[in-house]
Amino acid sequence: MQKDEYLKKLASALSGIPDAQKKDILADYAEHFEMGVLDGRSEEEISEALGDPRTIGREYTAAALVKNAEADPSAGGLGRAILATIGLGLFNLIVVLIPLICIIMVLAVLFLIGFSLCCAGPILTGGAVLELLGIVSGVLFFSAPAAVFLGIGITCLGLLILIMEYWLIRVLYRIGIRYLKWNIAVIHGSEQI
Amino acid sequence: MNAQFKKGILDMCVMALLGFRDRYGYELVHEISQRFEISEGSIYPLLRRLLTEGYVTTYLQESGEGPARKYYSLTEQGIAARDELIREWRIFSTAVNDLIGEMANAEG
Repeated sequence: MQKDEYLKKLASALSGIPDAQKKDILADYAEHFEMGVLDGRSEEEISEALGDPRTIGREYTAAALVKNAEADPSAGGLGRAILATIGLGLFNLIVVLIPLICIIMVLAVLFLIGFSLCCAGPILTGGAVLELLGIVSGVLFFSAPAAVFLGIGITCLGLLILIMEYWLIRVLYRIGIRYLKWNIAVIHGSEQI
Repeated sequence: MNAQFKKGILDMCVMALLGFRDRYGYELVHEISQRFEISEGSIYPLLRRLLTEGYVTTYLQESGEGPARKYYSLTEQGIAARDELIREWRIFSTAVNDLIGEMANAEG
């Protein structure tokens, strides 16, 4: 991106910081661009080499919040500093947490459905068989032979749901791990040597 | 190994360079990125941190070819901090080299 866009993005990522300091920081990067251009590099190249302005902005914000919490102890200040330091890795975690809870609830319900069907099926079949054998009577309100097969069908459906759920959990888990790794790489990658 | 130590390596390199002579931001970025691959933007937050900790001071100097440059200079505290980091680094790298040497001997 061009210098102006870069500086604009950086400025907005520095929103938590006092104006004087913010101007100073932006001056550093503006100077960097100017030097780079004098060096014969393009603004595109320079911004590429600098890295994501938002990540950089977060780093300044975190450092500033930590300094503030240090100088001016308060529960709120400390809380903000911790959150900023854990990086917007935490923010992303929150964004992920709500869908995650929903997914867990869905999985729980699916399990209940599968499990219940697996229980109901045999009970239905068993009852129908007993009915056919004449051991009990009047238990079912529809034909006993149909009930036998219905029970078997229900059991199979229940098993199918449980098996698919198992597979689904494995897939979701892998996706989750990849997301976390991506998070770490993107947020901390710029510090790699 | 201290977890902060890894982050400290870049600090140490910057302070070591400043120990030899004052430099301006772009110069530091250029020299370091010539030797390792870093995202250049990480140097300025580092310099600001050194500034708030009192390890460096800054001053502006006019230059013939272009805008006034902000030069960074190591303070007394900075020199002491730099020496401490270098000491830790020497201990660490000696230990690593010994270990590697041992492994090489075992296989050699």
